[in-house]
Amino acid sequence: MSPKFNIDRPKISDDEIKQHQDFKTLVERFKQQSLKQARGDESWWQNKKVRYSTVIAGITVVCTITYFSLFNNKTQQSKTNETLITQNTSPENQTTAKAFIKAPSQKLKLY
Amino acid sequence: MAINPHFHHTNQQLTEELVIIEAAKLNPEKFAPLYDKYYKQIFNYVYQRMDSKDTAFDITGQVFLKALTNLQKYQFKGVPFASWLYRIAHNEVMQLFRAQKDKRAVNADIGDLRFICEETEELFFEEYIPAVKKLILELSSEDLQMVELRFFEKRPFKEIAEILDITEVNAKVRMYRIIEKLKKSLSKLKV
Repeated sequence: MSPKFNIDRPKISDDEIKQHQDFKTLVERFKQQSLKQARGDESWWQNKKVRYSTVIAGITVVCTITYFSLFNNKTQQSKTNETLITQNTSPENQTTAKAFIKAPSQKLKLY
Repeated sequence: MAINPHFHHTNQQLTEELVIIEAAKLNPEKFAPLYDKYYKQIFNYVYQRMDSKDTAFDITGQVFLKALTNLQKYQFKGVPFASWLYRIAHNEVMQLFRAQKDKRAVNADIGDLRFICEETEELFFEEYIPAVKKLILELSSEDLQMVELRFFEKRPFKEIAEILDITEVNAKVRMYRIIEKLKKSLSKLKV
């Protein structure tokens, strides 16, 4: 939809414009608005329910994180211990005196 | 092109304004001289783009309230404080038109249309008025804003750039393209 085009529309008089000019009301509106804004900024924290629930939630998050990090450390440690034990007990790793070069067979007559 | 003297400020005037702004940042009551100085200009800017007088007054009030609320963010850029107010007004008006397209109106004097024809180096004939009107209304929203600011309100490019939040060079390039577009269309009308 194209806008309306007015040519030589009668202008509004200065007196009429001045009638709407009201600085006091503007300042009052500004003060009310800034007060509302300030209250809004504070009110979310001043609300007891919100404050307590955020504190509790925060503590819970910290506790769970620390618990899991500790628990993971413990399980990892036990796992490493287990692997060490298994490594020690496995027959392959047993240190039996094995000659690097096989002894010559007795059947073999070298002379 | 003669620039509207309303939009030209000397260095001294700019400094005086800056002093008032700094005072108003600390105390909103000190904003009064700027409010008195620019209320009419801002109202005319808003009313120029719509039909409803009441809506224009409402928006003007809203512009000054926003200006006062965001005064701490104002930064001096070497142009009159009015440019910043115009930018707020521009945003408010555009916001209204996005919600209610039917509120948009273009207002011009017959002299402004004649001036467009002179700028495009075409002779102005009274019988061309409907065609020129049609051409202007066919422009995109951005181009129409440029035409209003430059031809109808006779603002310098620096201020147009500040209002539309573009560079001065960009504003000049856009204006040049619009003039070329209008030239083409007007020359077709002549044939």
